[in-house]
Amino acid sequence: MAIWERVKEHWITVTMYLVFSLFFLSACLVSVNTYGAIAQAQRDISLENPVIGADIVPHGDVNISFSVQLHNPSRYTLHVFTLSWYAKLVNASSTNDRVIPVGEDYSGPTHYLEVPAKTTIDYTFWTVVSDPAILEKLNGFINYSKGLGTDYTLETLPYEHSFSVILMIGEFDHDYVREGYLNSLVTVELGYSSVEGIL
Amino acid sequence: MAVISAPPIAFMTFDFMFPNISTPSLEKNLMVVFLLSILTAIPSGYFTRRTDLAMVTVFLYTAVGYVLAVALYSAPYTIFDLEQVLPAFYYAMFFRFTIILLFLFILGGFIGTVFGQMVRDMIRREETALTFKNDDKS
Repeated sequence: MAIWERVKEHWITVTMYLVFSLFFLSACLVSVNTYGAIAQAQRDISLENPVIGADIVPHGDVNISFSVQLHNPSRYTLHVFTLSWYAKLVNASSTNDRVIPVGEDYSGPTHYLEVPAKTTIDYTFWTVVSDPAILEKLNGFINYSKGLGTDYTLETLPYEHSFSVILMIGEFDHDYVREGYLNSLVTVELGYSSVEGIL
Repeated sequence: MAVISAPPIAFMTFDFMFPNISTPSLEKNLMVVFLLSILTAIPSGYFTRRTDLAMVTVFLYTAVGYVLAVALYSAPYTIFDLEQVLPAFYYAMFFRFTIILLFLFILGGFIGTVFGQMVRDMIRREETALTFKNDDKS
């Protein structure tokens, strides 16, 4: 009762004190909610349904394609920082041309590539291999494999695809120099390799 | 009083750890943290007559606030049931980054406590002076 009497006597200062405390308590709750949402986004943002393809097109060229879905179930828009796709054929028997590149694409930091909240985006990459030098190397690999008993065509060659994307979550700052963990907190790195699967 | 003064301490500690995701953010400004800790301690000096008791209150609310900050920091895998979002040494990193804040909270708390008592004494003196002035007039 004595405490209640004192509270009534100083009701203005007590009210200001309680408002001050409630303001920071609500700031704590909002910040923790944000932290939890970011942690869930880190866990749930994923690559799905990778599809690789190779088709013969007119003039005997080959169209190498790759598509993958980026699933964003979080409440934040993701900003693409870098996006890259690389396709190659590994010819272990050759000393000069061990890796035959057949397709690549790269996109650096840009404001235009975004993944809206709660959406799934399809990324598709394709390239038409028409360079006679590269087609000669591919046909050389086919002929060499035939000698070893394996029949390949330009469509069925074991092309290796690798895809990687770095995304920034929402509008949070991510350019800290000393506190690298703060940048990592709001960065999502995803990758796919046809050899290792979704990374 | 320790419970009511704990949220500002908890928020300042959490915000110092994650300035880019907390709302509002103090952006790791130690001067603002120091001034806020003085402000947080003023009520404990204002409402407590004994200075030593007020300073013990500073220790109490700093401890409660820091424990609350640890709980907030653990929220992703206690409340949200997620895996750890940061690599190894999760708590070691938290203590390493926020230990300096404890000194600021205590030092600012002592200053705020003394300031709160000064404010209370000034108000009491004014009230006493006004009371005597009214008695003289009557």
